[in-house]
Amino acid sequence: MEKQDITDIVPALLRMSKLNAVSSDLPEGHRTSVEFDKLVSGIQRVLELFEKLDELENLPDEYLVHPTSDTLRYEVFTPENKCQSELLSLVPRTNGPFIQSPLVVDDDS
Amino acid sequence: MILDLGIDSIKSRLGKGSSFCNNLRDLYSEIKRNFELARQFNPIITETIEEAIQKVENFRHREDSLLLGSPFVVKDNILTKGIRTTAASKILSNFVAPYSATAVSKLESCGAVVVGKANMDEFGMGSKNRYSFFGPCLNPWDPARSPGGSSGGSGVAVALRLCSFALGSDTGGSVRLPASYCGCYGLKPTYGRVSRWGLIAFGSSLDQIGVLATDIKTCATVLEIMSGLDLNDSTTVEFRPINLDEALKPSRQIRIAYLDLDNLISSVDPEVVQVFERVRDFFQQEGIDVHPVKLRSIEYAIPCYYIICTAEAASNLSRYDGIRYGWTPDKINSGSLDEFYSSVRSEGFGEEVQRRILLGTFVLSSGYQGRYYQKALKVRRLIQEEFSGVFKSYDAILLPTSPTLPPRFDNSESSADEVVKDYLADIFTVCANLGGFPAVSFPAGFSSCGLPIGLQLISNHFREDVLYKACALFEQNHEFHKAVPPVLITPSTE
Repeated sequence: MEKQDITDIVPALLRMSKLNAVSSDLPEGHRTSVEFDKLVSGIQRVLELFEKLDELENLPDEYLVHPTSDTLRYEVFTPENKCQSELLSLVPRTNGPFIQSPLVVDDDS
Repeated sequence: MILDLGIDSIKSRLGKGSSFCNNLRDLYSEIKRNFELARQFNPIITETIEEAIQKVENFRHREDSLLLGSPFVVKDNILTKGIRTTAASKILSNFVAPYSATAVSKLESCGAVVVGKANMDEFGMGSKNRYSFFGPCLNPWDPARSPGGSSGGSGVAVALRLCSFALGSDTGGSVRLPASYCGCYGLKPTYGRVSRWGLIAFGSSLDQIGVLATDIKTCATVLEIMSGLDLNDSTTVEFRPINLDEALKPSRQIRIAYLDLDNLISSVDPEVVQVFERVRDFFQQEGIDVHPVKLRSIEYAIPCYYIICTAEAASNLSRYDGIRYGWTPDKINSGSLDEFYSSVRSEGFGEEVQRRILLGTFVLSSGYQGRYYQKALKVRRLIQEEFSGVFKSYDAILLPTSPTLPPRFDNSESSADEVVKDYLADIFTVCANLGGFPAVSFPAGFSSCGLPIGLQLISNHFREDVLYKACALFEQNHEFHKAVPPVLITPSTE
């Protein structure tokens, strides 16, 4: 697998994550956000760490289902980046009740 | 005299009848003195010791209250009604919790009293407790070093005898690393044993509330009280309670597999290896069936863990927008709503949290999801199956908690290499979270320069009793858990 250079992608990631990064040429007192270069180099280095998983090939798709047992249930995140709780016990797989955010007290939605 | 705050000691010290109230008052005065001593290490974000003293004034002895009068410290990402709960972040720096976490409510109903909210890495993201909006927490065994993270304040609070026990949260080792670096026990339960209701989410499929204490009996008792089904958390499981009298009896009827460190030896500190071998030999000499085991999947655990936890963090932390709760800047520049969100989040989150949100967004993004996130989910299963395979023949796996001694704080803190180095400190702890297994870090020895070294035992799902038995046997024959940091022995010169 080719090495991933994310310099060009970071601005889009920042936008999607609702974050700003500032240029390191701003004077110290004006920096309220993390420096862009610092962010990119940190993320780049971590992605190199992630490349270790490329060594593992042909893992079965059944593995995408979390480990099941008759007692363990895992909270699962859907690929659409939505937090969703699923009961993954031996009972039929159904969507469990959505776990209310601990911090949302009166969420009308 | 060193305060012994284990639940048995507290019970016998407080006594019954008319002396109970006076004894309780004296106890809290002594704890208050330890709080003053502890401030130089910055373990507590919000102290509630004064409120606790007022609260215990009304206590009367009751036989049925298992923890009556026991002071406890709560990590600041666990909600405590009416008390500020910040997750050590600027973005929640003024947030007062409207209700208590299920775990906290259960402990309070047994008579335990919150004396403070512990410092931590922001949102639980870190292994050194240096990423806190309220400043880093220092290790009382050597203030130039880290107490571990992310539950560093909880570890220091136990080490400095501010409480009987402290609650932490463990997503990838955040209870066990501070326990190891601070010289106490740190117990992470099976995923689903303790409700996460009221725990500020970081990685929801990995997070569990755990306990830190100076003895295994206190850890086990507190965990049993916190355990059980909670309708507010659909991942909790009703499981038969553990008979603690039985489980805390030292036992030689267990089979222990120890991790073969041959392939990892270059990354593990020689003093950690030495302690590991000594403890392995101890169990062997006690007549326990002890055998080496190779766990090949461990080398994939770090990337697997950091992909999954950052993906979940990016999703969980999207709720912080500066509008519904928490901190909002005094001065709001005109602009679009998106610009408002971005400015609040960029100023409100620290560097490490922002890095993880971006990583999480990246590994979930279209085009990269298959290579990273989905692959990590598969590897997670691989790791879980390898560990489960070992548990078919053995009751527990012995391995180091951390590959190193408590790390020094240095100046190149957030260089890219330092970031990765910090992540690698979790190599022995993340597997238990990925597989949902229970694990305990226990005080196992000291380095040549007097720093605590902890080792870890992992057992099969819902088999915390095995961990208790092994720890009880070790505790019966060693006194590492009784050691206290120098500051409690040498009067402070300040």
